[in-house]
Amino acid sequence: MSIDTRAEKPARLGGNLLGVTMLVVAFVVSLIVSTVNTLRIERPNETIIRIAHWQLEKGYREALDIAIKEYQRRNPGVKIEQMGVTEKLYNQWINTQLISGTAPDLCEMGQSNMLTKDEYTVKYFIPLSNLITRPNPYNANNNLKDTPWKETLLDGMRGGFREGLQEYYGVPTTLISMRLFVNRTLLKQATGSDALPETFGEWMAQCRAIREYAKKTGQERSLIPIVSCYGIQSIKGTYEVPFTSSYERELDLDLNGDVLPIETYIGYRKKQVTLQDPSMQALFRSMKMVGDQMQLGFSGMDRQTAQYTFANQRAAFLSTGSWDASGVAQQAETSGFDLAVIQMPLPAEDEEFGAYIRGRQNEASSNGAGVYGVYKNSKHAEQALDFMMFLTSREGNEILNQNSEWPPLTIGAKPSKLMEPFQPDPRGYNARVSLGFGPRVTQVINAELVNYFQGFAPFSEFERIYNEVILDPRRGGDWAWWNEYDLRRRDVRNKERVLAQDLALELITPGSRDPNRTRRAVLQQLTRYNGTDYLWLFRTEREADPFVAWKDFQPVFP
Amino acid sequence: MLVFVLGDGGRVKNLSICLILLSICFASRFAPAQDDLAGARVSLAELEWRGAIRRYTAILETAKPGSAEWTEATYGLGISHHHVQPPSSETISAAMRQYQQIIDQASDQRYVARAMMNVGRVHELRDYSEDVVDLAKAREAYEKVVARFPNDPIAGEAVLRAASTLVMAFDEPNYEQVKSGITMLEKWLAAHPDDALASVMWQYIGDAYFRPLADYENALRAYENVDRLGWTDQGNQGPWYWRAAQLAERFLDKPDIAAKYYAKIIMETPNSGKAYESMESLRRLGKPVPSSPLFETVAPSTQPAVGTASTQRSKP
Repeated sequence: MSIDTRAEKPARLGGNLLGVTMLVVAFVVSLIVSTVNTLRIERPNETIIRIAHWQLEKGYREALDIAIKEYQRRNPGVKIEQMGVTEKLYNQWINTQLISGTAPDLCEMGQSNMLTKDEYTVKYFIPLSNLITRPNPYNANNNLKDTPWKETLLDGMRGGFREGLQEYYGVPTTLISMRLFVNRTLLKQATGSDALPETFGEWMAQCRAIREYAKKTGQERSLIPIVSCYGIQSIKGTYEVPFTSSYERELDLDLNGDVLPIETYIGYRKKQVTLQDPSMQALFRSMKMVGDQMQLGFSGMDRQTAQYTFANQRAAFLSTGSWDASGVAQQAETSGFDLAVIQMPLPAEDEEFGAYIRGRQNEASSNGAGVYGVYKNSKHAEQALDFMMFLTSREGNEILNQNSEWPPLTIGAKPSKLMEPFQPDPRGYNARVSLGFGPRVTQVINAELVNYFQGFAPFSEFERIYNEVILDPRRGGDWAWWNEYDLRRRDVRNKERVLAQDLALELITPGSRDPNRTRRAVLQQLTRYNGTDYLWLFRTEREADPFVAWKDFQPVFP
Repeated sequence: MLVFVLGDGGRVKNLSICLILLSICFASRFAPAQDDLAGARVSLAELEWRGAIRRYTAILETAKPGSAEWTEATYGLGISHHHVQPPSSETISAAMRQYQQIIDQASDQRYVARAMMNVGRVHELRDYSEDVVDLAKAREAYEKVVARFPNDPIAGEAVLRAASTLVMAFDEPNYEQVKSGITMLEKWLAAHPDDALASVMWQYIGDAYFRPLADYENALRAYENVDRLGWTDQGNQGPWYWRAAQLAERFLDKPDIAAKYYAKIIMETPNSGKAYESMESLRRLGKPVPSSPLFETVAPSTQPAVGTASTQRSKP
């Protein structure tokens, strides 16, 4: 049987022609759209720098715009475009941009693994060590003109340093600090005076007066003295150093000026520090007093609710960070109340707990925030870095931070009036007793201590549970010790990768690598002893064989 | 297929295109390895070990053993196998093979020395969960480097690594190994005071005297040497300054040395968290307190550390 296909040929040809035509049209249209879009984005005749961040708090984008305008005025032909992306989306969005090779020239570092983990950082961002040791040209007309760029920032640019890579990969632009916001109008209504509390005793007296006022005015349920955006732990954090830094002399075994959690655990085992010590009791009881002045079940209050409560004058004191200051100030203005910002008041010498106070916690070692990295595939990396120089020059940093109402980071940059109380206070102490040794013990502390502060359980219950978990051979301090050992050992091994890379590239191209960086990595690796110092410490301080005590433990992080 | 293609005159053009493409592929196989090496270097710089393995393996297919390309690729393949994740006994064995090839066949002695060091690193570190650390073998490898390259800069590094395999034994109660590690380093430093790693060595010696030996006099002596040479981890030496000051003041009754380190904390590492306490300590010792740029810049708007906390005192 034969089949005559001649009659079908014209029809198939017609169909093919139509298909081909449609394909060609689609291709041409796509080409035009794609070219137009590319030209719109890339604008080959202009130098466009894109800067991406997730700081959508009130005022930040406007402030960055003002800084951008000033930069563009000084650098005609350069255009900076900011891309504010909500915190919830930033992670996915930036990952896609990085993978597809279209990431912005400057990316705020954080939120995403690809912006925080060393293996991605090294792939997508430009190392800055060799660049930040030169003076910042935008400081040419002030007294920082000869100072290396890195040293012109209050944190020495530590906020942009990646220890695992021994390299700077970001430039911080601002500082952050926690403070107590006060509604002075409400304070005056409730207590008859708007005087700010100068001591812990005064603060608590004011809180009690507010409780009384609420009772008298029928607002017992709706008006509360204190709210906190980050729970009571953030408040307790600022009191730990004042109450417990005196333990440093006894507990700081390596004399490095700090008391590590492992050193606290050793001291706890030896009863050099106990939960019944007068200073520890003073810390817990004072925080219970603070908890009594917060709303019932305060651990369930989130950041937004706390801000809302304070903005609506349902609380006289709000504990939160500098990043919220601008928004809170605007809410105060809208609601018509006088706002003040203070550090957490400490007990005076002649007050209850005053005898246990050494001094306040210093903020000298705060790291800078708002860190931006320069994308490796940026077509204008040099210009992007130049913009970062401007943003962290004394003048540029003042423009950014005064307008966003954030604390400036550059030495000598003046804060806005609102930010003056947020400037880091370098005076005070740093060491503290750290009861939370390891994630499991910390989890118990966070849950059980808050129960006590909320009045849901007596202190004795917290003490019982804490002792149970910290002394538990399988999940307590000994486990945390093993975990520290394991992390230390892994850290040394991870450093070996970076070191090997550095040494190989130096072999291939002699003189291409910074020998200081290599020496620093060698030193840091050596002084971690592959973790064997923690084995020795266990043998000598716990007087037990670590390999027997830890024989069943498995790494948490594979 | 060839007959089929040739059978159709219109397809001769296709054949030509195929031949051109094939010849490009063929030619690229014998193109200078430099471009491939450059790509492999990028993989190294980005810590992309898998990519580096692919590239170096491809280069080695054509590189002449002993040539510069071969040496770089073999070494690169070795460290890529050494550090690729997840590590296994196979990847580490492959790395050791490649290091040995370099040691046996490379003419560039810099690579040979570094490969010998890397053999020590493999023995010293635990690379995968079942791996067994062998400090004696590691030390042996480092000592071979010192013996073969006694006058090269790598010798100092090898001595430091060899000494550290002894120090990290922490062999209480007599600490014989720790002491012999320190002795090894001190001897090297006596003969090579200007070694590129001299400051690192002194700092390591100081730490070992401090802990586990609790020999504070010698620890401070070592730290004084570091201070003379310059601290390696510039900007982060605050904790060592504090330790030196504590040793001098609390244990050795050397207030002048303590004061020197307290002043350094204030001036050089004000972000260490110890500047305020250093000021207190200097006052206690009756020594002058230097002014600190950090305190001058930031502190005027704040209140003293002790006592009250308010930053906006406006009591009527």
